[in-house]
Amino acid sequence: MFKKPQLLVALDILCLVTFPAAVVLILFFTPVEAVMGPVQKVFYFHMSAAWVGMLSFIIAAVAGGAYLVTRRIKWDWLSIAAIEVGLVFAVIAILSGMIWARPIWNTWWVWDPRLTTTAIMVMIYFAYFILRSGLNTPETQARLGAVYAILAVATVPLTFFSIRLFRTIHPVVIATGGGGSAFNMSPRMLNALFVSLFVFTLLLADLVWHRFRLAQLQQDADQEVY
Amino acid sequence: MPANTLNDMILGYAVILGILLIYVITLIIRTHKAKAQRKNALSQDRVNAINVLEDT
Repeated sequence: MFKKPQLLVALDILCLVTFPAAVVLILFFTPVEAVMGPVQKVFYFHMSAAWVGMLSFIIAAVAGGAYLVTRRIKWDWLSIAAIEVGLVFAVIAILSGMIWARPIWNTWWVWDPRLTTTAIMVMIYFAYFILRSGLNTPETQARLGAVYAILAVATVPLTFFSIRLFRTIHPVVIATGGGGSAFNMSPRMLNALFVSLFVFTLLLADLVWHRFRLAQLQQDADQEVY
Repeated sequence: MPANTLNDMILGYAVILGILLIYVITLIIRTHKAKAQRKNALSQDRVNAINVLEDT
């Protein structure tokens, strides 16, 4: 039998309750930004998606390292799961950012350092699956996949710090030193941001766990066949 | 006076929720397929085991 753990069921329910609650909170109980208007509300999920996407790629690299050390296939499943789910969130971050940029920057896309590094990061992680599909044995896929996940994680700090290292039009949300925040966020806006960050982190855990179980199922089915 | 960007906000949330929904659906479909494949493989294993027993 392949029974769903009770903790995963609880996490599913928690996500099903908190995600719609976060949407309602943002759409109906968060103030409209004075200049940008309602489109600024995309920011809460845009930033949360970017955050969990990057977190997911870091988890994949850690799992890759753990696989290389222990050679336990479970770490490879975690790496695959984290990269796949991370890619979904990274694509959400890019597309929601483009939709936000159109009325504010008057263009869907600019080759700004943040946007460019994010696009490179997403393409590098898409290539992870191309690499795996080109390899024959599960052991080679796991070993080279782990090495690739560790090398590819270099794009995460590059993307994160690009707005601090280069001149850019992308706002700095988490200001450091004397930088100052581009958003003059009211406490209610800040609360909405923390709620969406929390909800997206829960969603990441839930989706990665489900994708991990799928990898386990696929492996079981393959072993039964051969 | 804030800019009238309500349609952009609706588009943004439609895209975010749409992508998440599509991903969850693909995950459910793939899990069902893998479960069915595993079940078939297990039943095939049983048939093979019975055949081996009958032969011996």
